[in-house]
Amino acid sequence: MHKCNEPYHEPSSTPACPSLAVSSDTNRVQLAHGGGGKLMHELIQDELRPLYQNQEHCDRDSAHLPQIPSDGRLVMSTDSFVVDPLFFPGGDIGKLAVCGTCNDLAMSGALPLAMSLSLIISEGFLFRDLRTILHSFKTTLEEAGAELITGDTKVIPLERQDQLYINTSGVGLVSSSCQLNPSQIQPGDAIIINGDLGRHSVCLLGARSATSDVLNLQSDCSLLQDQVQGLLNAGIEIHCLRDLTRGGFFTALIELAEASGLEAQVFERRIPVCEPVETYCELMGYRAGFLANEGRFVCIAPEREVTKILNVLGPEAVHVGNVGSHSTGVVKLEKDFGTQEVLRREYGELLPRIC
Amino acid sequence: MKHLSEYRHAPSIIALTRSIKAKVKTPLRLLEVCGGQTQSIRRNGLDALLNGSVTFVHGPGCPVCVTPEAAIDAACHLAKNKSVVLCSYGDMLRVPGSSESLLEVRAAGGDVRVIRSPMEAAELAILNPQREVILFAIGFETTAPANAATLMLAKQKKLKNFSTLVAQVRVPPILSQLFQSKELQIDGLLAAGHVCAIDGEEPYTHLAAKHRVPIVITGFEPVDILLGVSRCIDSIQAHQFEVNNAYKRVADSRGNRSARFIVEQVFEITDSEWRGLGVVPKGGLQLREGFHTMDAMIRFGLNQGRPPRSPTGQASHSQTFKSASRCLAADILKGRLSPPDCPHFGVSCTPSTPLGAPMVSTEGACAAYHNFGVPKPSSLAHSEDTSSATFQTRKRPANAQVQ
Repeated sequence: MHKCNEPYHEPSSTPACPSLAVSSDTNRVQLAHGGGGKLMHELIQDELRPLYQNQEHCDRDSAHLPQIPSDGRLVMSTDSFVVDPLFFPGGDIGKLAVCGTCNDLAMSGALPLAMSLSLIISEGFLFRDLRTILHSFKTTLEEAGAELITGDTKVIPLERQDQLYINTSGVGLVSSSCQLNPSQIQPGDAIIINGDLGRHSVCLLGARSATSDVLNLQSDCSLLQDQVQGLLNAGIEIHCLRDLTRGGFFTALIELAEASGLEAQVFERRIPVCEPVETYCELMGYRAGFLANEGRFVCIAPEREVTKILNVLGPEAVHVGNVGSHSTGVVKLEKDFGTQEVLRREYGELLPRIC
Repeated sequence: MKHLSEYRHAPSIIALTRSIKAKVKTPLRLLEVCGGQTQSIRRNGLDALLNGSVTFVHGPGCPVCVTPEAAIDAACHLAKNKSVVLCSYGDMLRVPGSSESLLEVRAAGGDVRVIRSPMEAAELAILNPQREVILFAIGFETTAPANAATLMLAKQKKLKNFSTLVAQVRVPPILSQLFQSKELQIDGLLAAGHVCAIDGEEPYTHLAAKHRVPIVITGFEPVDILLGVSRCIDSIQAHQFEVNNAYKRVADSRGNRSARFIVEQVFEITDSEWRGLGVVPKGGLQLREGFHTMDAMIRFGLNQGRPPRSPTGQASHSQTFKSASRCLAADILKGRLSPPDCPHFGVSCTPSTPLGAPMVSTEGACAAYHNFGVPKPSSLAHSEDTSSATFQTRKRPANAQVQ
């Protein structure tokens, strides 16, 4: 059931009111749209009900999950999206909210079945923007092949009127035989990433400082399930997958090295970074390897599978390094002039350098 | 970016390294005073590459490490004022004053904004006429021109709600002080390329001659740094106590006269406290009288009853961090002690549990060693993470090419 701040039972005697609040592009979300009354009812009927493929889900008190085949198991993931700005080159928070959760499921080898959508909207938010975001959500969810089965909406007074937060939880189905996790990582495994790093972060940072036009860059925000299914369906042996969101490739690799207890060796010069991202990082003192992506993942698999993996993932994928045999649990970044750097987690907030 | 690939070019780095090692007969000690160079040396393992031929001595080159505690205290105090928007360069947020950092003040509700350019602070003042916007103007000669230009703009636009908290420092006076110290044993200086891009060679020519120290203006990429090292060795061996410029692609020998002109319009030279180092004669900048209306200390009455300056850096440090009396930051900043030789390094002092500013700031020497590994872990047998505290030279991998 799609819920709002309070339950609402429309009196049967009240005639249906034309949805004035949502008829104009300049109309804004009011506190009453989450207040359990008429406006909330209109919001659900006009904007949220169309997101449900199966209308029964919108009316039920709790979501009914699909039947699970005997050779499969369910996996679940949840993620909250607080991206600023809400619209960025290559996507918006609606698309991101589907990609983020579906990509988490994809890293287990799963295909998404069902999703929840919780919206926290600031009072005064433009309906025009809300519709654009919900449209992105719907089209991306359709692309993912999943359906919305439950949701919730809250409207709260915030300092800024252009804020909206989304939480999505996703349930996916994975074959019982598919085991992708850090404990599967073996010495000698290849480390492959599916494309260049840092686009999503730099896109957002550029949009925040109004330098998007100069950067001419699109976020990599996209669904990863087709690439992952491509690998699994080709019968390639994969040991572990990890999407490269917050903290980026380097942090993901540090986590995997620690979890597996093995040493990862990555060749710095192989790490693909496009020119606008590299330039931006140099100016600001960032490292692309630590920046967030929303359409990139690392694949750890036996060395013998490298060619097949690169064929499936396409020309942007790069074999950047290998898992070593030492049980140090660290990541070593190899420079091609003969030194190596032990990678450490960064502080956690991107702070531009001073000079 | 062609400048990056050219100046990170492995064959050039290898050739320069070989050439340096071949011409060094006895190990040399070179001082650098720039957090960017410290980071580059450590990140790329240049010290390990030179394998004892050259030891890099890291001076007070981290701008936020030397910003006095009293200035951070004033910034924290101002940021707690609900009418104030305090604008600061990013790394400054993490370094604590006597009791807290700007990050902590922000978490408690203070309006602290990270800026990439000081002009962003002026824009904020224009867009928010009901708020008091304060620019925390810190740094070396590199930040002074943009900070000064922002103040000139604010004055020109008659911004009534814009002011600045100034903690600008100057490099040549601290170098003079370090060179006079008998404790600092160095053979040459790699001068910070971007500071020299503003100042030019002139302030350094006098220093080189007076203290008989060869000085090479040096950039930041591995090839830049090794080129600076190579030129410095040539000067040392030829007993040429003069300034050489190995960063001509950015630093003109005359510096940037327009930038200096702007700085001179807004700031005047003053004695200044450097955190950990005490008061350095002519070591800083203060606002000229014509800009006093934009002095946040005056506007918010902080110049009355301001905490007295501590006479030495050690005293200043003792109030800063928990257990700070143990911190040897003053010795680190003066180049007397290399971070891994500090008994607290990696044991009781890490970026998560810092005893002093050089372990907090990403540009600090201690953080640079901690984040990018230490060449000699043997003295750190009890380090919290000795397994990762290595930075070794290694043979070039046979499969270094992307397939």
